[in-house]
Amino acid sequence: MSEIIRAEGLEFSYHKHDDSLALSNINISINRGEFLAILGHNGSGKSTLAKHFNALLLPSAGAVWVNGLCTSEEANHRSIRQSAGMVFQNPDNQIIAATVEEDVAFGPENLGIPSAQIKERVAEALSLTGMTSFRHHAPHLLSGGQKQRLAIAGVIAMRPQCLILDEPTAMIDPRGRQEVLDTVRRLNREEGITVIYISHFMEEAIAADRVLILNRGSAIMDGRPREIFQCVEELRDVGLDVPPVAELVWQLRLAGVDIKPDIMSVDELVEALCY
Amino acid sequence: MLLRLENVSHVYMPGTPFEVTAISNINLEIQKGELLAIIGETGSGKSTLVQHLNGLLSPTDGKVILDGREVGKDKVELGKIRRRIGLLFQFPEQQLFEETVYADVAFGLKNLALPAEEIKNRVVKALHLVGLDMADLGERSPFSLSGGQMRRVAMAGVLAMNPEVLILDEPAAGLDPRGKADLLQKVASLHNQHGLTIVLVSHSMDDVSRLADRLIVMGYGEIRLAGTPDQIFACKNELEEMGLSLPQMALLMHKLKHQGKNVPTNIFSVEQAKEAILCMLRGEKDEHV
Repeated sequence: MSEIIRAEGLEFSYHKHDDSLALSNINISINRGEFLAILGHNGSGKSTLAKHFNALLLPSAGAVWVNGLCTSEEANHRSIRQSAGMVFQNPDNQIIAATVEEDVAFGPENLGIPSAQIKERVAEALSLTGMTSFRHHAPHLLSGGQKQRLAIAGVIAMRPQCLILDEPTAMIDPRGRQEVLDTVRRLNREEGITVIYISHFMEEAIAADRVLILNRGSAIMDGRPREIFQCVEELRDVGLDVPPVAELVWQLRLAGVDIKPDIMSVDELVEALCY
Repeated sequence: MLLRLENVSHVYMPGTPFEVTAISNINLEIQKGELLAIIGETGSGKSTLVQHLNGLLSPTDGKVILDGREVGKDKVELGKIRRRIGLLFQFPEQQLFEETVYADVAFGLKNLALPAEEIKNRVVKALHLVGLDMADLGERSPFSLSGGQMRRVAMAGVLAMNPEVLILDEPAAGLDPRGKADLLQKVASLHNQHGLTIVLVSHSMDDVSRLADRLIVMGYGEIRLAGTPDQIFACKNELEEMGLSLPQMALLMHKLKHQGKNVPTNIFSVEQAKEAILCMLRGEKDEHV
């Protein structure tokens, strides 16, 4: 597998004259097509790290490469931001146009693409996010989940290789959360887009190939969700909850019940207990 | 009984092409000292409903009755009602505006023209109730605090008015697990230790199932289910139809039962689930002996 993003010895401080580091000594390599979830308590550095992946923030020490281009070189920024698109927490802050279609077209228009191609890209982005039937709607009248899918469509229309989502479901209801997660998963599986998904909902990280846990600016765990969620006590120490099923499995094992430690879903547990 | 809604309906923008019936024909009583949770999907009318409870919205049809008197008949009364029934909106931290935490919490009290000493006492007490310390944070800018702390400052602002009923619209939305557990625990202690009547609006079954004495479930602007958490979570199919999911542990129990296992289904916490499964396994072992 080829690498799309790499960070080496990455450090970052928001204040030039003070020693408190928002990120310290982060080393990570993210492969093309991977679905990486970054989890951590508020203030753990999740968003700060994500913003390094499309050059919105630049390292105070160390370096980040996207597609082999170093983010510290300003000349690379345009290309980096085109290949790594970002979706933020609050959908209302990301909508600019009067209709869904125009909103999605905004990015490609700024790239100076011919209008026939823009139309094509908008249609494709709307279809990939399941928003085609809303194309003439006014964005402010959409539900939370629809608004976030619109924000994702806007990024997809830029044809990025990597989609970075910073707590995209923190402000929306469970149905909307599921819509967004399904959309992201489909883009990853079917379109091969690399996904970096920041969240503090542990259940959402189950869908990922790989989970990175941050605490006070350092990466403390990196592995498959099944491995990570067995570490119930370590996760609690850093202010995170494991998904309820993983916690129950851990408790049952402590009480001497003989089941596998890496069960993560209700259905897996039912199966383990019934057969 | 403290507050009663009789056949309350609310239509937004009546007579225009945008006319929407947000809630229709709601009958609801709120008892003194209870913790009532209102759950429902986005757009089910929860927020419209709670805004009727303190006269922020008036019903387009039906009546809201507080202590036997109809709310909204007399404009002068509205101010008093809003003081008795405090409402904390969704994402209330967005409404903080003062330069210091103290000034923000004191804002409502200043408008009541209370003596300075009284204001200070109430602010200290309100901050204490939400687990914040005046000496630590009083002079800080509210905007320098974490999201969970900002939300608690907003809550203190409502509590400082000494309401009898506290209505919280999605109080835990958007907080991380630690912030959420903290805040819900504060809500529980306001209810258990300070006897406050609380109405909690949420779309998270997992959050409210452990706290509430009584639940009502809204769907399409109507009350679809009402009862104790036990009664409500027995109605798996109805809830799923309304886009709500059971708490994970309740779902697990339903599925085990469906497989012919002998387990109760009125279970919401990991701790309860563990006990039920251990009990189930012990029972099976005994059968084999």
